[in-house]
Amino acid sequence: MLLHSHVRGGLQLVGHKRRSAASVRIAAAPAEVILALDQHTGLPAIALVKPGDAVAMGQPIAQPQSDISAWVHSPISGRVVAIEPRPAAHHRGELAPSIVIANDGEDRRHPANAPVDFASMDPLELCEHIARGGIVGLGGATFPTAAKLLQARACAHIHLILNGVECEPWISCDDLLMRERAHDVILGAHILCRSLGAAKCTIAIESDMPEARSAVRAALASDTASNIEVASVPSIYPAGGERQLITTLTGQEVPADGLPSDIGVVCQNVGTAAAIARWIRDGEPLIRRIVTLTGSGVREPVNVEVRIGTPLAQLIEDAGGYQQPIAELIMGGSMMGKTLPHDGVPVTKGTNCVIAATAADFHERGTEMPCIRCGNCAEACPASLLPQQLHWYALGKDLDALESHGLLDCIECGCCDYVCPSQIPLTQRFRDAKPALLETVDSRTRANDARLRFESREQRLTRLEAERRAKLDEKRKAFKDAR
Amino acid sequence: MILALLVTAALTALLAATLLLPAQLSAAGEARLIERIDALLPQTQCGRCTFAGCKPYATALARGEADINQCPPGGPSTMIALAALLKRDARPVDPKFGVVPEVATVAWIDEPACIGCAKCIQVCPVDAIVGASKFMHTVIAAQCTGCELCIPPCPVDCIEMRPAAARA
Amino acid sequence: MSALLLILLSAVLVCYYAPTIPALNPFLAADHFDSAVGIAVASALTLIVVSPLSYLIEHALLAPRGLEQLRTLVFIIAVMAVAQLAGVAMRLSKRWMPVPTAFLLLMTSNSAVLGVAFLDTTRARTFSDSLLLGLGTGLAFALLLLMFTALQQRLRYANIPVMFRDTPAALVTVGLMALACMGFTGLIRE
Repeated sequence: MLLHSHVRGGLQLVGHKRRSAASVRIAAAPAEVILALDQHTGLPAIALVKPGDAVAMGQPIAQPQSDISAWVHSPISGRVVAIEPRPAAHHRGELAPSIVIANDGEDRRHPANAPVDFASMDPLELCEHIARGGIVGLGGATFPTAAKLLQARACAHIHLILNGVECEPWISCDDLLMRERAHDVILGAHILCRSLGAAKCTIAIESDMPEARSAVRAALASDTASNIEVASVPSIYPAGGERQLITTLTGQEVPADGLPSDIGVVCQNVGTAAAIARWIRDGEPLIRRIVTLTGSGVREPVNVEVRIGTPLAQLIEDAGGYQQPIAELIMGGSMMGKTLPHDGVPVTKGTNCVIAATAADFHERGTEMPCIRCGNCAEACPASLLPQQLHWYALGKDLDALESHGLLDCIECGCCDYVCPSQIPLTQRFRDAKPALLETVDSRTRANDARLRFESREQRLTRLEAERRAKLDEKRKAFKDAR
Repeated sequence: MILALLVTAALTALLAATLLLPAQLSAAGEARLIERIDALLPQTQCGRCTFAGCKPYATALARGEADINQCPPGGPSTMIALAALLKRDARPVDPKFGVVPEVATVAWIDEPACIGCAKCIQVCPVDAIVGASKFMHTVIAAQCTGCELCIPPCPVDCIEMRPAAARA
Repeated sequence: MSALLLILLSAVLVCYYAPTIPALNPFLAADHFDSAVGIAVASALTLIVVSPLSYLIEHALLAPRGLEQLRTLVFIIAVMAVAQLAGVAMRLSKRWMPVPTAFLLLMTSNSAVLGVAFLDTTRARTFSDSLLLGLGTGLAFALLLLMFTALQQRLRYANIPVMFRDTPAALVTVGLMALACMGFTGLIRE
């Protein structure tokens, strides 16, 4: 399939992915799992169990709090030990309310989880069923999938894109998923197409993943439906960013203040599609995922299928432990990953990669120097922003200029950071500047609402006053006529 | 020589005539200016500036009848924005119009103490209080601007200001 | 001798002082792009009107009666009148922002305006010459003013040493822009 446009900006990065190209290993279930209640975008889930309850594998243990929230299921069978704050990876080791479950080793399945026949289900019902599987975006954003589907369903002619463009260095979980479980991905594509009413589906795979591409093509060859095609995307970071990928494949830009569904596109990660396939076909909700464990600090870089909630320390222990003293422990890739203070945090739904990095793996960052206005950052930005200007305005705290230069469109990919010769931590600056800007934009929206309500109240009062006067005039007139 | 003086006098008279031309903004220009000023105000509609709402204050500012430091809820940031727009000197918000709030606050009704008199509902400038006579009253926190106009009329003093919850 | 030195010194100081008053220097008055647009349009209008007007005054009023020595005075008055009219025209438009302080002084002391009036007497041979001169100067001035404001905006948060902030940096910028424009001399042989 021909791409509609080239990838804007971006960087060619060394992938470090071949190290972890071995077959996916299934990790043993841990003795204890810790499930944070807020491991998805939106409001945290509300616990349904209490300490002492017995739970089965796949049993729902927390329900969504609102439309943008998700179910949480137990990945093991056992007993709930506690519901208390525990260190969480997505909060960089800070505490988050979590449910702790001790494993009884039996892996008893929850009887109520049954496979369903998606082809005969009503699409709306199918979306709601997907919600009950606790499915969230596994590309890293952890957005509740059903919320995305329900919102996008309103559009006609949806083009579904499955994102297999794993552009960030070190991560290879989607690559291995496509190589070994391509059928799951295809089935997931069909289920998503049915729930969205999408006529067309494109699976985008990076050009440097030939094994994954041939595996998916082979799986498609035996597939009866012909509405799925495979597209090869150049291996430039961050070609796999949702908006960047949509522009590359369709040539259209997602509006800055809008969503992909505004232009009739829905983008899902291939891992999400595979998780949906497992839920619909096998009745297994989202309780495990593939995580890349890599870096020079582990004995053997590998992709492991691990239960959600497994403590990282155990995961690394099972993989052979630390090989050398590590300089940094990162959850995520090398560009957008978060540094963890220790390995006492559990795997979450959004954990795609763990890098046990030694000093040799990454360049040391130099001290920050003044900006020399070289413009490298603007060339590298995939969102077509001007990081140099944003840097100056962030220093001067000029919120209006930051807004008009599109700070809120920054995807925090780290490309500008990488190319800056003055070693300015641009991504961190932008991340720090966003809350103040969001607050300003938010207060402006609230002020507009207050103005509208005030004006409508004034109109109502004037109208009531006029009606009252009219009534009095009528009464007076009637009184005069009666006399 | 006389001619030179006459020419100069004539031209000076012409200049003086142009100086008598109107120095006010046209009606459309003024309306646009009022809109621009209103867009900078926080829309609390509290009346602390001594005007009956943010639009009347904006009108007074456009006509030069009010000063830019009369809005406590807007605080220093609003005053600076107004100074930049109207080309006046920046100065601190005048404390005689009120104290600049440190955190955003919203009204909260203590429901057990509420007697259902509906006096607070009548004065809320943005209709953020739900209720009716002899029925429970409650404040819709998301719509409350923190103007505090509901506090004086309450006969049982059951309304207090609480810090606004962080918006998601 | 000391009196002469004093005059020299005060002239130097006054000469340096004058450009720093924003009211006298249109370049410094335009701090935001939006207000710069207003000043640029007003200046352009003034220039476009002043040029043919000064031509007419020179050739219809002053020259036939041999009143050339009144030229400076008459031109200044004419320029002030036109500037006032331009100000009124701007105020009548819907998009006008509040007037910067001493707008009239701004327009009048803008040396380009007076300069074009005097340039007319040497350069313009016919009335259409003066019209085009005014149009060209007006557009050029507006463009330069907008370019300068854009440059100032870019440099607003730059780490300029304290001694060079505001006026010195502005003068350096204007000087560099002038150098760049001088590159066009010799493009058209007169």
